[in-house]
Amino acid sequence: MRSNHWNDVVATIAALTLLCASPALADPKADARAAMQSTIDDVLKVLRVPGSDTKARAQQIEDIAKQRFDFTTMSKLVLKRDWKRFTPAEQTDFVSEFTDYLSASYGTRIARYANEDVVTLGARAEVNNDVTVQTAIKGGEFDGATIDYRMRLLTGKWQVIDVVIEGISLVSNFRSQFADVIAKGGPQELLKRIRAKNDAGVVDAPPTEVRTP
Amino acid sequence: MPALKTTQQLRVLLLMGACVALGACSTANGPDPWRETNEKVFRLNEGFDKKLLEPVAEGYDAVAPGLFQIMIGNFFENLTVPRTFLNDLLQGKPLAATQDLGRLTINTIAGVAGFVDVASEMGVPKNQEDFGQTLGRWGAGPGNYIVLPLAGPNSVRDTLASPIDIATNPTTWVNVFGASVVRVVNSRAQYLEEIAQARKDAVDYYVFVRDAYLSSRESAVRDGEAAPATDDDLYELDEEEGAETDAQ
Repeated sequence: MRSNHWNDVVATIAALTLLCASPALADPKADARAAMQSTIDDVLKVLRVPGSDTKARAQQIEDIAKQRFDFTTMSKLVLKRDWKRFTPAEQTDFVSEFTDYLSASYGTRIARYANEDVVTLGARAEVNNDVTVQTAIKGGEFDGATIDYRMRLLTGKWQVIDVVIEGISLVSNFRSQFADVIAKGGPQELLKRIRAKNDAGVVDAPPTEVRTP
Repeated sequence: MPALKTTQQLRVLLLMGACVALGACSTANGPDPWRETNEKVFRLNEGFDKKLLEPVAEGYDAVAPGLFQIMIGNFFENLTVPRTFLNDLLQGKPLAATQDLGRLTINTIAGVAGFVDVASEMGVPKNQEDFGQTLGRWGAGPGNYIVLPLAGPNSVRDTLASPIDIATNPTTWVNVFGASVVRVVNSRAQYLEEIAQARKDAVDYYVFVRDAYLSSRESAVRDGEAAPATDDDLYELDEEEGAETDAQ
């Protein structure tokens, strides 16, 4: 009797401890926010280096982005139902081309914001245990512009699966653009077009056309 | 002439009332059933921009320093705050209304007619509301996507709301052509690099602009809050959906 009673008490304490401890052990919002914060800090560090040229900066930012963005998941989300229309080889091709395409354009964009700061405003829990980390640009022409990072815990690491700039989701926008191309010309046509963008060097070309007077 | 203008606006208002009441603004067949016409107008607008507006904005950008552009932008933005204030009230947002009244007062007086955004420096949040957003809050969907000549991307709802927005923006009260030109060129100059890159990056620029317009408007209606749960399948992997269906 007595030993049974003690067992109950121990079990109860153990259960309560677990209950109390689990929220402290895993706070997805805080974890995702900290992960994104470290990436933002790394990017800002690159932007703060005086005298470095935009192209070199863009390359460094690209490398940092590749550590934090899960391009395979992004590719699957962007293609959605069309993903299955791609053969395994085409899928691999797509992920690789899309990675270059996205990180190049992200890198060039951010590389220009040398005088701006980024503040993390908060984190919001989403369905599927995702977390949205909310940030905003401080200073410059785009003061107050919001950039939200949709994050998901994938193989133990908080990874970005979408970027929402001023309410515009990259995943949603690319899905609309790509769905049309796939509907008309199939996976190969889409691969051809993205490859053409990458070959044209989105990152290397000057941002505006130079006009001769 | 003013009388005629009022009648026209009244007619649009009535039409809008009917549209909202009937829920006729929402469509089932995607957001762009007028795509064929829209694309034509879009190309014309692109041509106008590339041949006239962009080169003018580039010239302006070459002589007008960034800080100057920001100040001009601030000035015109300050003039939209009364409209925001009015729509805060229509949407039942007393806190935002207070912030915007404060912002208008601070920037008009301390910010020298709005050229300096003192309110933001003081940490007053920047809200942006118009009548299209108010209709959205009241439950009106965006309706069909429509590309207007010169004015560009729009929705049926926002087009119908625009007479109210024009009437509540003091810039339109004084019909000074020069002022409008400065406003348009200045804001175009601030987006030179962004638009050039978006054009270059996009696999389909028409679709890019359409999706960006519709998403940012719906996000503005929600004030940047999370989309309703139905939109969340955006982030569900198709294979998971398949697995769920199998289990059922």
